[in-house]
Amino acid sequence: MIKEGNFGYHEAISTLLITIVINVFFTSPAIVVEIVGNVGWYMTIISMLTAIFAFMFLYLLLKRFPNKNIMEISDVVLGKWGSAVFLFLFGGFLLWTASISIREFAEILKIYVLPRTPPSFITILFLITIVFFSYMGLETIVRFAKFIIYILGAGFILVIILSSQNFNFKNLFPILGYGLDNTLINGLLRSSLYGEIVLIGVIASSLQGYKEIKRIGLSTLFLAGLITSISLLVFTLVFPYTVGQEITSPMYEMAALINYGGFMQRMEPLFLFLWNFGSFVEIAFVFYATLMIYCHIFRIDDKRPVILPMVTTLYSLSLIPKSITEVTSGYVQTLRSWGWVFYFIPPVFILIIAMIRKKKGESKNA
Amino acid sequence: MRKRTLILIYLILPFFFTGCFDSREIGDHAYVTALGIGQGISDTFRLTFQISKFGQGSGSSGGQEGEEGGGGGKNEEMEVITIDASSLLSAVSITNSYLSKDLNFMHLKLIVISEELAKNDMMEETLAPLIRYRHIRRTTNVIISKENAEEFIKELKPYPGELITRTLEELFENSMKIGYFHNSTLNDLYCEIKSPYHALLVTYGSINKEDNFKSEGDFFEGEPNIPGNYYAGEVPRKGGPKIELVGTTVFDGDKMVGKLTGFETQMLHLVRGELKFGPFSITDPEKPDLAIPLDITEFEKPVVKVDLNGENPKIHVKLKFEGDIVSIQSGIDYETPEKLPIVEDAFEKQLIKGIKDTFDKCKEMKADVFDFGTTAASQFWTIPEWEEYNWLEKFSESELEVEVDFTVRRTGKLIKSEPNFSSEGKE
Repeated sequence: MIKEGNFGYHEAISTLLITIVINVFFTSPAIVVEIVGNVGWYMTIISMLTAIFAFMFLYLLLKRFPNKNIMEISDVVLGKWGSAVFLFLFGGFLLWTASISIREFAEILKIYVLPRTPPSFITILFLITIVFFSYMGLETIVRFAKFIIYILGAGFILVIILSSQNFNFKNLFPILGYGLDNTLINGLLRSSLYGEIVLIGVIASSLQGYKEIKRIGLSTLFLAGLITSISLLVFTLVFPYTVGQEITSPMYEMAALINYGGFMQRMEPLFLFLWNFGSFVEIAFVFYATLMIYCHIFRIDDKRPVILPMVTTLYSLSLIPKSITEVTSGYVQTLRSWGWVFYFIPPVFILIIAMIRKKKGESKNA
Repeated sequence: MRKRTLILIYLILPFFFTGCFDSREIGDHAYVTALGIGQGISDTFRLTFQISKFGQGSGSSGGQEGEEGGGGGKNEEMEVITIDASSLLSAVSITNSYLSKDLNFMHLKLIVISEELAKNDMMEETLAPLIRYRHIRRTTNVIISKENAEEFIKELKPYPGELITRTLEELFENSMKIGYFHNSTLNDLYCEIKSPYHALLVTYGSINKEDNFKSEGDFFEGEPNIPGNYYAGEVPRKGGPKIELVGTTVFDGDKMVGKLTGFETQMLHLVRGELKFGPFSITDPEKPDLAIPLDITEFEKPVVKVDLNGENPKIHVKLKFEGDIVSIQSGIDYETPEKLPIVEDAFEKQLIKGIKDTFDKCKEMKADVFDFGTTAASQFWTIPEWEEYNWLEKFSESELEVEVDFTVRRTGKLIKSEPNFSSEGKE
C-alpha cells in the first residue's frame, strides 16, 4: 500500500510551482500572443490575481473542514453519491489535462528533437517514469520536485540571462496590445493556467493545517505569476508579436537563438533539460492526484493495482487528438480559456452548499 | 522479489538500445555549410549546397605548396552541388539519391539568395520553408548576392588554415567593427519581413572580379572618396578572398527595392545605435585633396523622437560621439585647441549630410531602415491603432532633423604637428 506521508511547505510549493509554470514552456505563449499581442506578460498577472481570488474560496472551504482533503469534504457536503459524481468528473478532467500535457510534450519533442521517433514510443517511455513515480507515492514526487526545482530554477535563469542579447524593449509597444478590455477579459479567462493550484485541496491531508495551505497557495500563485510573467516578457522582448504567435515552442526557439560566438551557442539542450524534468513532475503529480481521487471514490486503499489501468487510459486519451494543431488550437486553447470552470467553480459550489447545509468540520482543538 | 527485479531489468534493458534503431554517426552526414537559393530554370528554385568536410587537414588547403594562396586556391575539402527543385526538401531527397551521405544542415552558416530572386517578390516563399525546416537554425546568416547564388557559393572559400564555418563567423562579426554591411540572420529576416515597425535589411555580397582595380591610367586627383561608399563587388582591389560584403539590400515587404552602399549602411547603423565604434574619414577642411581618418566611438545612445502630431511625421535624431584623430595627412596642426573644432565641425557636417542623404534615398524606397517605427509605435496605445496608422507608408512622407555632437578626445601618438623643413625653409 502506498502511503501519502506528510511533507512541508517547500515540497508542496516546489511541486505546485513546477506543475503550473511548466505550461509556459509549451505552446501556450504563442496562443497568448495571438490573443492579446505583446501584453501577455501583464495579462498573466491579471490571471494570477483572479486565481488568488478563486483560491481563497478553496482556502475557506479547507478552513471550514480542517485536516480534510477535498474528497473527504465533498463526501460530507454532497453526500456519498453526489460526491462520487463530482469527484468522478473532477478526476476525469484532471486525467484529460494530463493526457493533453503528455501529447503536447511528445509532439514538441518530436518536432524539435526526435523527428524519427514514433510519438507512441516517446509517450510510453514517459509513462514508465510516471508509473515509477506513482508506485513510489506522493511523498517521492514532492521530494523529487523539491530536489529538482533548484536545478530547474538555475537553468531557467541562465536561459533568460543568456537570451538578453536578443532583447528588444521596443517590442513592448504599443503598450496595450489588442486593447485593455481584451487583455482584461482574457486575463480573467486564462486564470485556468493557474488552475492546478486546486490540487492543493487533493493533497490537503498531507499538509500541516489550513494556515499552511493558505501560505503555500498564495506563495505558489505569486511565484508562478512572477515566473510566467517574466517568461512571457522575455519571449515578447525576443520575438515581436507578429512572429511570436507563429512559433510552436517559443521558449525553445529563444534558447536556440543564444549565440555568443563559437563557444557559447546551441544552448537548447539546457532548455530540454528543464522541459523534460519539469514535465515529469507536472504529469506525475496530476496523474497521482487523479489516482487519489479515483481510489477515494471507490474506497480503494491500495492504489497500486489501479496505476497500470489508469496509465493505459491516460495513454489512450493522449492518442485521441489527430494532430498538433488539434492539440494546440483545440484542446490546449479550450483548457486555458475554460478550465477555470472545472478548477475554480467546484470549491465555490461546495462551500455554498456546506454553508446552506450548515456542514462544518471538527475543530482541531475540540 | 529478486526474480521480479530481474524480469523488470530484462524488460527495461531493450530501451537502452533504442538508439541503434536509427543511429547516425558523424561521418554518415554530408554537412552543408552554405546554401544558395536562386531562380531555377528546370524547376522553381535553383539550390546550391556547399558541402564541407570537417576532418583532419580540412580548411588548410588554401596555403598548401603548389596551390594558389590567399584562400582562393584549389579547395579539395569542399564540394558544391547545384540542383533545380521545387523545394529544399525535394532537393535534399534528390541529392540523396546520388550522394551516399545524408545532407545535414546542422552546421549551416550561410544562406545566399540571388538578387534576382529577391527582386522578384519571392522572399516570403523562400524564407518561410527555411524557418520551418528543423535542421536550419535561426541564427544562420543570410546574404543577398549580386550574382546568382551558385556562382557566389563556388567562390566562398575558407581563410587559409581555417574551417569555412569559422571564416564566415568572423566575417560577419566584422559588421560590428566597421559597419559597412548589415549582419542579418534568418531570424532577423523573418521577424523584419513581418514587421509593421521597419523595413527588412539584408547583407549585400558579391564576387569582386577586380574590374574596378585600374592598373593603368592617370594618378588620382581631387577630393578623396568616402571610405566604404561602394556596393559589394565594386571595391577597387586585387587579391584576397573573391567574395566581399559591402552594403545592404533594402526591402519593402518581401520585395527588394534597392540597396545602400557601405557608407550609407554605416549611417543607418549609427542612427540605430548598432555601430558602437568604427573607422571614418573626413576631407581635410584646409587641404581638400587629403583626408583625416578618425576612429570614433558612440558616446551616448542615439536619441530618437518622432512627432506624429503634424500632417507628416517629424523625426528628430540626436547623436553623440567622441573619437581620436588617427592621422593628419596634411600635417596641419589640427591638434591645437583653436583648430580642433574645425575637425569636429567637419565630421559633424559629414555625418548629418550622410544620414540625410541615406534617409532621402530610403524615403524614395518607402523603407524605414532606421527603425524609427519602433519609436513611433510607443505613441500608440493599441496594436490595431498602430497597424491602421501604417507607419511604413507614412515614413515616405516624414521629415528628418539630425543633430550630431562630436568631440575629439585624443590625437593619436602625436600631440602636435610641426612643419617640415626643406631647402626652401619651413613649409
